[in-house]
Amino acid sequence: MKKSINKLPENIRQSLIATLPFVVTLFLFILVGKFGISKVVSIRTESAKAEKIQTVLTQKLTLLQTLSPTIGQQANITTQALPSENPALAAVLQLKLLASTNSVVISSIKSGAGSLASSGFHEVSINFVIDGNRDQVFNFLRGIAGVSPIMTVGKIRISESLGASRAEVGVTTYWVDLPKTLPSVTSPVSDFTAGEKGILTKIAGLTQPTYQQLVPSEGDINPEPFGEQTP
Amino acid sequence: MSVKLNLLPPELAVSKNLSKLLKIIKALGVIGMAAFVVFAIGVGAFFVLGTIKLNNLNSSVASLKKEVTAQQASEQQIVLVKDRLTKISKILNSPDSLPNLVVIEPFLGTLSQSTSINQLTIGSDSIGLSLGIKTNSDLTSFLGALQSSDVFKKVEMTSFSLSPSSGYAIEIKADTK
Repeated sequence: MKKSINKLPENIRQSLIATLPFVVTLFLFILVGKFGISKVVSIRTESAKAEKIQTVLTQKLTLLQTLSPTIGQQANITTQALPSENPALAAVLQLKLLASTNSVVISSIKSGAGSLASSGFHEVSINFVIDGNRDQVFNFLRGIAGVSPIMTVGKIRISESLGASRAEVGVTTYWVDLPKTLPSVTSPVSDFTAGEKGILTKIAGLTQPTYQQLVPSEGDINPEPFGEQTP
Repeated sequence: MSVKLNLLPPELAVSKNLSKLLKIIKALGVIGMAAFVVFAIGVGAFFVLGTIKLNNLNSSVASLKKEVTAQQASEQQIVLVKDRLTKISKILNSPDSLPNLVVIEPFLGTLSQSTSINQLTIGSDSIGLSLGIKTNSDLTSFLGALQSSDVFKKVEMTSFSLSPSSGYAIEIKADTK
């Protein structure tokens, strides 16, 4: 190789020797530029992505930690207001309690079969009759908006005879299935909007149904269940 | 006086112009090499620092993911509450007769105990009212209250009759706004 270079004319030989470092530098620039820069860019892209995820997760964690003390109660309140199963019994219980509170007589309670409405909600209608004086009947009707599960009132027919009022009322109460999917860990969670907070406050003010828990009676244990009971 | 002597054999002599050009190329080669060294160190530094930063970020993200997963119960409840609130909002905005009950109630308050409600039908967009009014003053105050009110879009008196024994019987149909 060296010999063949030495055989070249002096002009060309000198040109080659002078140009070689320049060409090598150029080649190294291209090589490092192509691989090194692409690697650095890729690391920067991944870092930016990781930073974004870190920001989302930090915000999410802060929000979860802020909301966690109250969210359980809020979940309870909202599922009472809009349950995942037919709330007809709870609604009837609430109507009876409301009637008792307003000193009106509730009768002819009829509940229809639940159906899936076009809105996507399951709904069940409950019809009943209320007897009392005018103020009591109106107080009862207004009170329907203040109980949980939430109900919408259909047509109301009120008639009076000898100072007594009678109202035929139809209400609809709703239920929907629980959400089936949970967003991925890295997806953001937003805080409640002003509108959502307003509804939450409204729902929190509703009278929740109270259930009486029946405790099994404590009887004497018969030591000889298949024989004669000892006195 | 100095004399320039060229002791090289003529076949080894390089032309003057080419010599100048080769000097420039050599200088460029040296500058290029220096620039390359700086460039390579820069790229290397970026690579090392970037890798350290990425590793730190990845470990931070992994730790945050763990903490968020530990709060999964709260997240489920937030998703549930938000879902319920959206649906409750839709239900609360659906047709309801109760607002119209609140609308008509003050008008009934203008009537004395002698006036009876023969029939009051309250729907989500209209109210039908049939009254048995015994006195002129009740009739006047009721109609006056209706006239001065702006809560209805349209009020139509569908029937008006007077019986000496039972007084006035009026029927109105009102469309709410």
